Parts: sequence; C-alpha cells; structure tokens
Amino acid sequence: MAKITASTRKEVSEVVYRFFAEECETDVASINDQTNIISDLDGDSLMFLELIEIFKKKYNLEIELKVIGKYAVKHPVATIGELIDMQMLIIEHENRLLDNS
Amino acid sequence: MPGFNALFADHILLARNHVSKELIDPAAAKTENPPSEFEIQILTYIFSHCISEILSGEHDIQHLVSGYSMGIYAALCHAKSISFETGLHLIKSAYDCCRDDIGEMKWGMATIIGLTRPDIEKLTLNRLPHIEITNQNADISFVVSGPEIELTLLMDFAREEGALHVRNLGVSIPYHATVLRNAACSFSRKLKEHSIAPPVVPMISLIDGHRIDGIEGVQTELWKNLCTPLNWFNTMRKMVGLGVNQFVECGPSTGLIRNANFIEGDFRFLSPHTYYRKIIP
Repeated sequence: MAKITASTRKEVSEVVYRFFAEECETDVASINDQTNIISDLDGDSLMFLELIEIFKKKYNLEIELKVIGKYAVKHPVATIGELIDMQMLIIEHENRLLDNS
Repeated sequence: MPGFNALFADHILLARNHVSKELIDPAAAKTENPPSEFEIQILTYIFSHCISEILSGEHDIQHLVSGYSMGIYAALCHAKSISFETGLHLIKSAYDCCRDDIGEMKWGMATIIGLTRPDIEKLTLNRLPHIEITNQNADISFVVSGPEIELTLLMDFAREEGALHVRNLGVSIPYHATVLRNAACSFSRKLKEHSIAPPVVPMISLIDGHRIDGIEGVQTELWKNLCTPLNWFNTMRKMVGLGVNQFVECGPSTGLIRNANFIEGDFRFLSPHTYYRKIIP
C-alpha cells in the first residue's frame, strides 16, 4: 500500500486538475472541487479509467478495476472533489478498498 | 471547422431528397421531437462524410480508412467506392432489412466498460443465451447486442460484477449480431442494385482486419457488417502494425479517441478539430 503523506492529496489534486484541463481543453483555473465532471466538463467513464491508470503507475498500486467498480456503485462520484477523495482511498487501500465501504 | 456548417446543411437537403423527407438539422430540431433511430444514422453518416470531405480537400497524405460500425458507409464514400447518395440508399436498405427481420421483438445494444471479455462471457454463460459481444474497443471496453430483456439483466449483472460503466445505447436493432443473418441475406441481394466500385483508398475490415478489395469484397463486407461481430481494438492494432502513426476520427463521438489511450503503440489519435487546427499547414 502507498504511504499517504500530507502532500499526497495536493499531488493527487494537481494531477486530476491538470488531467481534466487537458482532456476537456479548458483552463485549469476554471476547475474546482465543486466542478461537476459530466455536466460541467463533459467527462466520461473512460477519463475516469485513464486517471486510475495514471495513479496505478504513479503510486505502483495493486488494484483490480472490478474492486473500484463495486465501490463506485455504492459511492458514485459526481464532482472533481469527490473524485479526488475516491482516488485518495484507492491509493490508501488498494484492493482492500471495499473494506472501507 | 471552416465550411462545415454549410456543407452539412447541403447534405441534409440531399438526404431529404433521397431517403428521409422529414430530416432536419439537429441544431435546429425541437427537443420534444428528436430524430428517429434511422435519422440518427443518416445524420451521423452526413457528419462523417462532411468531415472526411473537408479533410481530404485540405491535406493529401498516404492513408488508410476504416469504418467503425455503421461508419462503414462514410468510409466507403471516403474510399470512393460509393457516392454519397448511394451511401444514403444503402443505409436505408440495410435499416429496412433489419427492421423487417426482427419484427416486433425488442432488441438493443449496450456498452460495458471495466470488465474483460471472459468476465462478460461468464456473466452470460447459461443465463443470457442471446447476448453477443458485437464489438471490442479495448481490453476492457465492449459493445454487446441482444434482446432488451437480456440486456437489462446483463447490465445489472455487470454492475454487480464491478463494471465501471454500463450504458444502454438506446437502439432497437442488434447490429453486428448473428441474429441478423436473415436481414444480411436480404441486404446482400439488394446490394446488386447499387453502384459500387473498388475502394481507391485502402480500406481495412473491422471484422478481421483484412484489406477490402474489389466490388465483391465491398459487397461481402457490407452484408457481413450487419450480422458479424466487429473488433475495433484488433483493427486499430493491425493498422498500427502496418505503420499507421496518426488516426483522425471523422465521426461525431470522442469515444474512440479516448479508447485509443488504452491501446499500445506509437501513434496519436486526433479529433478532426484538433487535426485541422494543429496539423494542416
């Protein structure tokens, strides 16, 4: 499991903000934690999947997509802030993510 | 893109004259009167054809073409195998053959993202006998076709299994499923009524990645397209293997561009807007 430090959330937030700014061709300054991924950014599940892959590589995570899918059914994500929260839990718990639900 | 709106409007007029008298520009359509399933196919064809026309006129580079699902008609048009008008009539003919074949039974298609092919096959085994995987977009991205009742169950099972996303595509015809073989047979007979030439631009089959050659090759691909599962994932990998280092999406969706991020290889996949803005001198 990756060690969560004080700077981890900041790192994760930066990656998520930059990712959506690039993918959605929008100014990063226009994105905040309340931004709705679908209605404001026209985001989709493949973007979510790409982000998971980015974090899997960045933090060397061992997590099955199906575990994340099962978690997401119970805890759907709508905003950037909620997405960052979920990524933090994924990094912290990896395949034990469901133990946290 | 410069010229797109006028070109699109012109082609809508052509489509009205040929196959769909009530067809209207979706930008002008009232929300309470959305286009029908057939009209959406025609609009998508017009969109792809207009993009292809603009890009072809701007930049002459060596290239291949491949048509995703019903995009085969715009791809054939791009390859100069059929005229725009013939494409309209072929789409209408294919649609009518399918409608006549499936009758009143409710069918549909759905996407499942986040599960592998064996995962989906396990979910359908012995429970959902008429569901077929009818396209693969990536290792974990699939399109399935089948009766609506089985599709609904499969989507529930897929969510329980941990799919990240499932979505009913909202169509009534199970395209690319073997259940449409009678429709494909009728369509194959009607193909002889249409003017088809050998593709001038090399065209790659979404069924098995072979190069489609000659009039007979095009006809076979067209009827098979209706009743044979496709594989976009393998087709893209095949094209990358042939040395393709740049893809341009001519359809209205960004789905394939995103899917490409899950396919390994030294290539880029651009929207027509990005291609026009960044690549064309």
